[in-house]
Amino acid sequence: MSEIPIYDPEVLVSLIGDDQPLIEEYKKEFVKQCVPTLRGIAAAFNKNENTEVKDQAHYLKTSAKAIGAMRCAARLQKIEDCALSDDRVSLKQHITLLQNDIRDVKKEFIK
Amino acid sequence: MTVKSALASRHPQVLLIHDRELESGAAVIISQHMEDFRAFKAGDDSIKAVKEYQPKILLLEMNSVKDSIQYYVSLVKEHNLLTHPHQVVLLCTNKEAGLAYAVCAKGTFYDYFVSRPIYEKFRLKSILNNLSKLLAIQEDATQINDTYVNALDGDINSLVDEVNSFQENIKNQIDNCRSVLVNQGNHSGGEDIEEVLSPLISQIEDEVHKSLANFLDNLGKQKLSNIKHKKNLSKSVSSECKFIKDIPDDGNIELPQASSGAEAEDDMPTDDMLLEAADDNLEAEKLLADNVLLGDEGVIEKKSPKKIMVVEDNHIYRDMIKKILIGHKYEVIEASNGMEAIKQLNKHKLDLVLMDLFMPELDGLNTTKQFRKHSGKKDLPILALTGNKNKDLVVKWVSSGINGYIMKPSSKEKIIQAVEEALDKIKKN
Repeated sequence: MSEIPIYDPEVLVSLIGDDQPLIEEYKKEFVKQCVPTLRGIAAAFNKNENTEVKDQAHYLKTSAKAIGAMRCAARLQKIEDCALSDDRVSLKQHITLLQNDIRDVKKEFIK
Repeated sequence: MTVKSALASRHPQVLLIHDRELESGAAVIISQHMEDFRAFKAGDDSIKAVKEYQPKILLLEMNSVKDSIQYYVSLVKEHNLLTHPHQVVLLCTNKEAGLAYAVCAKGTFYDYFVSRPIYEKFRLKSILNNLSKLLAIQEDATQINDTYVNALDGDINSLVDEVNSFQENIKNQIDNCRSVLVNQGNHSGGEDIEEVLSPLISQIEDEVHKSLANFLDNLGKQKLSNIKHKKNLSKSVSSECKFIKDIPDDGNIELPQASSGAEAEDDMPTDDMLLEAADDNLEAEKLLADNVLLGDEGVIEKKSPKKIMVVEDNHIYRDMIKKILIGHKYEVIEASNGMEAIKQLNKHKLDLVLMDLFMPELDGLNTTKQFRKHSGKKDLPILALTGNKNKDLVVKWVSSGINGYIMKPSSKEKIIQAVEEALDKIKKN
């Protein structure tokens, strides 16, 4: 997973153009969206509700891809796959790592 | 009906939830009438029971009708339960019968029953009998949908629709004949029934023959058309955005890839012809440029912008798509899930829909099916917004009525290109 870039700014530029204020707005919105979704994923995992874990991961993956948070998007795909195959051990691992990925992307946004 | 003593069925299909200390009289009646029944006092156990047993029939007997409704809402919203087909019966006091009736009349719940005091135990049994029949039918229908509908490709789907409409015609004709018969019987006062029936039967036969001939004719045309378009299927647009030109005639379609140089060269004569035709159309359109059209009386009218509905649960991505479309002079209607999209569909005259496939409540494929089947929007182009594609998925999308797809995320140019292609195709048709 480490070979995947944390953040690719080109993605958002190709989607909405080089409008920096708008890009900043979307970045903030994405970070805001991450918090409740991550909580939702963790809660659903604890309740053993794989479908909910998968749905929440899919939801966040959409904006992660659009914003260019590449590693987050890849991690969320892994979470979806593990939830689908009911691989609890890997699922837990990826959910824990998603926290780090989100932290990393926040740092990249500030740079 | 035999008396059953099954107050503790292991897999009850019927649950009664009450908030009263004493078990109600209704519980006794139901337990004697139905095998798969259990009663619970409202609380953690009742929530666990709803979750575990997924009852098809839920009877709610709280202190008031309002409490029952609030309890139901909490089951659905807070506990995310009852997402399966089910029906609810309100048990209420005699004083609140009017209110319970009004709630059921609004379609909120299936029916109500006055359980305090109980006067009509057979009415309760009758409600349960009706529900048992109704829900057994619903379950069968769901199974048919899940198991078979997904296996149908677009070609067969379209034919099935045609057969259904053919059957609907016959049913209407028979109904018409029945009403004519009744009217004629009333007027003639017992005329010889054969005299009345013969011309009607001939008429039905003629119409059936005509419908069948048309059906077979269309079947042949569609088959030819499918074979022709199957060849063109693999050369529409790029791998990120694609308009599925026509429905394949079998499941063995090839997933189109970005045209490689060699493939494109093989198909050049056809592509050239298509390009020439497209150029001609562009020339013709230039004559009507500057967004103005002449109205019937020569008054210059502004061409109204095309309306596009974006159905996407992720508000960030929905907003991005919206901004891109508005930037290209499209009018955008937003919906965050399938249910909202269906509501919006009836309010607006749409030119195109961009549909996320994975959404809570009602997903994109089922929303599309609803659009096509129940709203009569057979020609409305619908492009899927998706992060995934493979051969099986494309076949499934086509059979559900999706016309094309846009990969998530695509560049602004590719999104606009896919939208314009979809709109152009409709214009040409």
